[in-house]
Amino acid sequence: MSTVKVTIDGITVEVSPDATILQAAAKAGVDIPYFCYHPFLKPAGLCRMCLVEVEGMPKLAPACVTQVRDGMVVKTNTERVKKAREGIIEFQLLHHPLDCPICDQAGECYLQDITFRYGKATSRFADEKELYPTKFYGPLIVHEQSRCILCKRCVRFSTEVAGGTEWNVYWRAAHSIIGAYDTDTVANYFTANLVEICPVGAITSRLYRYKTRIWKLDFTRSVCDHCEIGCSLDLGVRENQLFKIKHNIMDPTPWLCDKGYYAFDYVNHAERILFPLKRNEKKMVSVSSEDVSDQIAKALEGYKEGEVALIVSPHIVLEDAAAVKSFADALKAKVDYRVYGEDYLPLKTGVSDISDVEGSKNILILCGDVAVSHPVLALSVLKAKFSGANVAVISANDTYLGERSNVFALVPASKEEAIAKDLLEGRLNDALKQALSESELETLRSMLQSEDLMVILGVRASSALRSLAYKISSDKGWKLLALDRGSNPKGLFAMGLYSDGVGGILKGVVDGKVKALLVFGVDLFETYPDAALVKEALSSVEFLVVGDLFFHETAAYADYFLPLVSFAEDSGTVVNLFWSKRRRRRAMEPKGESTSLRKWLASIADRLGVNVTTEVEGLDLSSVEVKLTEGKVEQVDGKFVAVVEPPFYRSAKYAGWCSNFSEASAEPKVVLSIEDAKALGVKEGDKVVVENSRGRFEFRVKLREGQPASSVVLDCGYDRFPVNLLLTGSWKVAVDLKKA
Amino acid sequence: MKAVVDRSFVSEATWQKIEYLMDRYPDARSALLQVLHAVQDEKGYLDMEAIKWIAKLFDLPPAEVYSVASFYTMYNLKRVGKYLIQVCTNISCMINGAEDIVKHIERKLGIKVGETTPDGKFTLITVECLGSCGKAPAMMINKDYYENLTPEKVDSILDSLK
Ligand code: SF4
Ligand code: SF4
Ligand code: FES
Ligand code: FES
Repeated sequence: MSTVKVTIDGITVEVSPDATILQAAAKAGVDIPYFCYHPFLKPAGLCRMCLVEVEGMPKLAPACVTQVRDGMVVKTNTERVKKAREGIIEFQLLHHPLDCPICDQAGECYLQDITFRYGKATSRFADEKELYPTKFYGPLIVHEQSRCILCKRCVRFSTEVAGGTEWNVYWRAAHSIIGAYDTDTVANYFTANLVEICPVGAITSRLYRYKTRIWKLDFTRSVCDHCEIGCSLDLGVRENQLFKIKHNIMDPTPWLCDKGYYAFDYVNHAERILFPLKRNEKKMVSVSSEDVSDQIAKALEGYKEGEVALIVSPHIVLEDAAAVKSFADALKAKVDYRVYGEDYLPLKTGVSDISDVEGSKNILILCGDVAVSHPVLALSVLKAKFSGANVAVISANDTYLGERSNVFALVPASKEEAIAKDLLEGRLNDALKQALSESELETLRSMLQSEDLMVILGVRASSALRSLAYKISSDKGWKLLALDRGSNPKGLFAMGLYSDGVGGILKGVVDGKVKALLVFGVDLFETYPDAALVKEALSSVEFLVVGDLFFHETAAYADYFLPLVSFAEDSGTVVNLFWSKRRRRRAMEPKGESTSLRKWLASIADRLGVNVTTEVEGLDLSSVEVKLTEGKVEQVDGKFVAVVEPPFYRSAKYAGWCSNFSEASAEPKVVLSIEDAKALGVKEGDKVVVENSRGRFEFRVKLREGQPASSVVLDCGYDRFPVNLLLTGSWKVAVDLKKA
Repeated sequence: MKAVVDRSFVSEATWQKIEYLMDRYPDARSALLQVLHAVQDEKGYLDMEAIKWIAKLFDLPPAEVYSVASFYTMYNLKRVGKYLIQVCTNISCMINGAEDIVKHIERKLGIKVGETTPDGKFTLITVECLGSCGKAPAMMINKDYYENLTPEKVDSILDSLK
């Protein structure tokens, strides 16, 4: 590629001809101050902070939007530039409250830094400042208009990147204000980026409000553990408390989602159990770490081959998985990580990087909300869409990408899988046709004809559908991405931590085959789609050990409770969605006597005289084989068929212990079609009873235009609201509805 | 999904006008400003409901439509009286007594700038230069200009409005 030469403050650099002066200056090591420029947003040229002198140009030029020319000579150290900078800063500060002492941005604020470096100490403005009230948008973000410098970074992120619709700038000039229209919450899952991207303290996090100062935090680079994308994060710790998460802009996408950014305060939660417990009659009493390993080992010794089983969370690191595997092998115990009840195993496909998604021309998304299960992936899909790709979403529940795609069909829950199967086989099901307009159908047809098609299977897609998609896409040369739940499912699969499913293990307990159960890092009542089975198994199992951070419902049945460490207190390796290894690093000391799962297992194994390993270096991901299954795709019949899904703000790990985060989805709702609501005699906001022979729950009605009749969506993931009682192993179920 | 716009939100005449406006541009979105005017002409002002309806019509987020509508001062986002009195208080008019005109209207109608009479007949606001500096002081009532104002002249103008 040809390059051009540019001289900045006497330093000559070679850059690509479409670089801007700002980019060239960065290469020359010359600092040009800026507010509105952002490397991952389109240039806007709004703030004028970056004005520089260009030889031959009569006026000063904004460096962020001025393209370089061969032989261009730029000066940033002249009197004119200095005056311009001082002027811009004086203007920026006219109405600024100068409240740095109580501003959470202080210490990482562009306005502070730039004023300090390039501004004047005085202002000529003698009138009264225009100040605005503080505005809270939901429990997560707070907006201080008075501090805003109107760089529009937030608005540009929201619309250009997140496909957001409510965040904008209103009125004009000095009276401009930023905010959400007609709502007090921002209904997108990426508000974290508004906080991170705002160069000043105008948008800040409510979790961090008045908590500490940025210069008091020590940051450690680690990996998010909420989903298998594994975004790179910096964890900010002070006095062994996790206070703040910042995103690492380079990797793998420049953005984070709200789970990664806000759902961390469970780490510091006062209700965390920090010492081992054992059952004494009805009560749990504390026990020393030494004794607890002794006693568990002794109890396990009494069981024969096949009588012990382990269930682990799909979030554990490979090192823990290696320990679990060797422990289970030594005891001839069954083990499984599929705590969400699905029977599918990860599929290794050719998609090896997020840029494969961003570069796709056609993306077909089936069976699930990508933005809930793998949020940042949704931003990559949107990036493809904004560069001209066709995106089609076919789902039984409303999805974030649905409204933002070219083709969106809300299909009946009962037929979701059948419709997806037909579509992959090239047929358009009648129910699908009904949900689409003519032009959408045409787009969909052309997408299926194209060779450049990526199919993304959501977490609801069954193993039969996955296998089918795998075969068809290999035949047709399509790309396939099959999503799994948890943050390390691919790694646990590669380590062989599966048997006949968590359901199989639970049934084994009920049948009396499995007598001792060890459950780590998961509340089965919350994750497993059949709470009755969980209850039956846990009440009948002879010996139960539970390890976790909190004393949840599953723990309540335990004979022993082992305190585990959180992701911030442990290092380890995980395998991300694209089958590459990523490294979590310890950012703080383990609290109390909490310890990693591998250490607990090692200490128990030691007493049993067996060896556990934590060795994972040898794990070769390139040799992982795909396991396909035969079978029919899922079909559920009933008067009403419900699909049960946690709303975004309940879908994070330990969401119930992240107070602000879970507050963002306050009340469980049922999504109904207009027709069904009419037939039931209910309107938006009314209460409806949802029941079947297994249970009965009341939900608040939310109407959705386009929702197919007889098909409903139920929220789950709420404390003391065990919707899983209605389920029988699948997240879809037949129910009956009536007015409450 | 099939989006449906409820045509009956506006009169048949306004709907015809909107269709005509949207057809005039290769990108229908170019007609946004004019459609905002068309709806305001019928309703008197653009409330949330109108903003949302227009947003649906253009397949734009309501926030964006609101952003545009609030940028321009000629769109009324709150209910205004049957007659919207816009008195210029910019430099030429101010020198020629605009402030007295404003005070006079305030006294006569018993309202302050920015307010509407209880009967919903008049709303009084002040605006920047109306481009009538040569005949200052000037005001606009709805779409009509009134120039070389004096308190007496204002009285007769307001009294003549039914
Ligand atoms: S709120 Fe922050 S990011 Fe948004 S325009 Fe204001 S200063 Fe810029
Ligand atoms: S997309 Fe996944 S890995 Fe990234 S921040 Fe969100 S939950 Fe964490
Ligand atoms: S950074 Fe160049 S105008 Fe804002
Ligand atoms: S100043 Fe009033 S019309 Fe120009």
